[in-house]
Amino acid sequence: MRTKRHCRYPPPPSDQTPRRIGEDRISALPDALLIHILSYLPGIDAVKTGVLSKRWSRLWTWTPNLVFDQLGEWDEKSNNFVPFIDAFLVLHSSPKIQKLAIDMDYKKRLHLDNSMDEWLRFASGRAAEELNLQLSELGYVHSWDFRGNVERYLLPSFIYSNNSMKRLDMSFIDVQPSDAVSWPILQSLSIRSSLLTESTIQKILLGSPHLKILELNNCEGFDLLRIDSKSLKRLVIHGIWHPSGGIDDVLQISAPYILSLEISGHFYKRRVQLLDVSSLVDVVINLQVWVEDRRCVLVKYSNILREILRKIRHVEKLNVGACSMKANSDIGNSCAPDVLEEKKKCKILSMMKEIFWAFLVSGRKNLILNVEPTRRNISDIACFLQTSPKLESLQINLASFHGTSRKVVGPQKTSSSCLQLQFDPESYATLESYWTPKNRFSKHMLAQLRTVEIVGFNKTHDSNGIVIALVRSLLKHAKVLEKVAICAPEIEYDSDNTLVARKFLTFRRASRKALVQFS
Amino acid sequence: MITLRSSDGETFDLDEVVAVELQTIKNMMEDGCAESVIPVPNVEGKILAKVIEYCKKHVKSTVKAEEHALSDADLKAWDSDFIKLDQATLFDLIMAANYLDIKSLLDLLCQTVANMIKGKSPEEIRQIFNIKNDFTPEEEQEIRRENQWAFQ
Repeated sequence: MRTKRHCRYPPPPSDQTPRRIGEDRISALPDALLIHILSYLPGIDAVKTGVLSKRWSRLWTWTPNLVFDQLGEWDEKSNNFVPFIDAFLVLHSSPKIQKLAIDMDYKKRLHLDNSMDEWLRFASGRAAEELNLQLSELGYVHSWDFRGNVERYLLPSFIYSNNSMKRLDMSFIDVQPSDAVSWPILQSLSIRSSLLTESTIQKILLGSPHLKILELNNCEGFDLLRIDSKSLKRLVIHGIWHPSGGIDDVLQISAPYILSLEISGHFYKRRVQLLDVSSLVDVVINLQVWVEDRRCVLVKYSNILREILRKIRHVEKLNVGACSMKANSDIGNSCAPDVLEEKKKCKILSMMKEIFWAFLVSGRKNLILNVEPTRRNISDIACFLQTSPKLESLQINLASFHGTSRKVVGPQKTSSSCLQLQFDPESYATLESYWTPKNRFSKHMLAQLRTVEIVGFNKTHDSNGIVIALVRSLLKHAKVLEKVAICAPEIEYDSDNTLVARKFLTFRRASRKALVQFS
Repeated sequence: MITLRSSDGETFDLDEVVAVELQTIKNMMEDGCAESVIPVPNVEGKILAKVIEYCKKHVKSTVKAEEHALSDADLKAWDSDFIKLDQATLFDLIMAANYLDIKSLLDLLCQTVANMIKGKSPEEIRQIFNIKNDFTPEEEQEIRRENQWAFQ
């Protein structure tokens, strides 16, 4: 692949004629560079370049990336999508391709399945390194809009034996290898909306000795995920697909060699239990669960979270989102999930009694909290800090629940002099109480904290008083603190920054080196 | 410290850690044929300046990481400003990045050109890049017929 790019353009004559306006610079590029440019285009755009001029007529047939997205330009013309791909592949010239990516709606029909088999055969034959098949069920809307057993495309058997694939991404596809799987150079595998049995997963792991990343999004069919593979470094489990099953339905994960774990998304009533994750270095936990509106069930869920936190005490880097729940009654509504979150947000963390936190003292050094600081979860933040005596770096994302940056209500251009520096003594007092000498943890708390980063600080938001109280508390107690970086994207005027910075300067610091920075 | 000299005689001093971003220069250094001043005869001064500006921003160095650490988001923002160029400069840069073998810059520039082509009709593309349609009317007819499936 690299050799093509090494074809050098012969040096231009030293007396260069001045460039005229209206010169066709692009066609003067060598073939390899034009093909490289075409490789960034989806199939439908690449093929159009064939009629530009004689120079261009065949170039598109050499593109290494074959990308077909039905949502692209096919809205009214969707019955042409399949014949388009067929014709494109027939004319393609290069013996080796880099990637085949298809994104389309799927409804089981024989001739469609046959076409897809042929496309996959083409990709295998041209030694594709990356295969991306994103099918979506026609009419499928939300992940919790479950509708019984649907028929997916069955991955053909010749795919399970492939020596060129490094990356495989599949969505809404039946993965049922009948014999052994052989993917000797596969490094990354992502499967979404599939029914996978435990034996299928074991076959895959056995047949992929170099697999580094495994992602299972909205998959079902397994109760125990046992990963003995020493090559796998990262595991992502994003939600499950079928909202049935009771609260005693457990998904157990045993992966003693993985370094990075992410558990996020909806788990409905399923419990997630970690068995052996002794090599973990970084974890992201962002669970959403679904319960009926009963308080005792809430307690059960906080136990689940507590168990998870207990198992990952040794992990150095933790990124945790405010775990939230959806009450059963909401499912009847057709509200968008975002609206539901706002209406019935209920933090599992707040349910945890303080005494439980005592057993969760961890060795973590990096902590990322995705929270909305409210009076209710000041204690949560404090509890996390209490149980992280070795903490060196703290990052707090004041983003909305879904991790996107908070929207400012209306432009604030005229308010440069009206910066609300709400300093809320009440929340400050609450926070302080968590690390006064009476509290058994306070002696060691924040002793190693070096850097703090607060992202998404918004000058007009209600919570900034609490954030200021938090920063003040950290400055007061963290003895080796070096830097507090406050990222406030909504603040436009330097004068605002100086106002807040000046306020922060008035706070007492335990560490002489401590520096507060705005960006 | 490495010095590069452009086709029009301008010289540019680079730290070694930046110079290795230019694979061609890196190979010369490793082969031991890098002299004190390396001539780059294919590339004009003002283009070479832009290439070096890019490399300095993107240098991967653990030493520099602390001082000038740009987050991925910041770097992306810087890149999108960097590519606001006229066509002539854009293509000069592509040729330079290709000759000097700077993969990330070449990828960025090619992606930029691809974005100019994406979603446009052939007529629009010809207009943007001044591509002359050198098909005879008969040939054009033939091509349209052959590629009918592509232009539903």
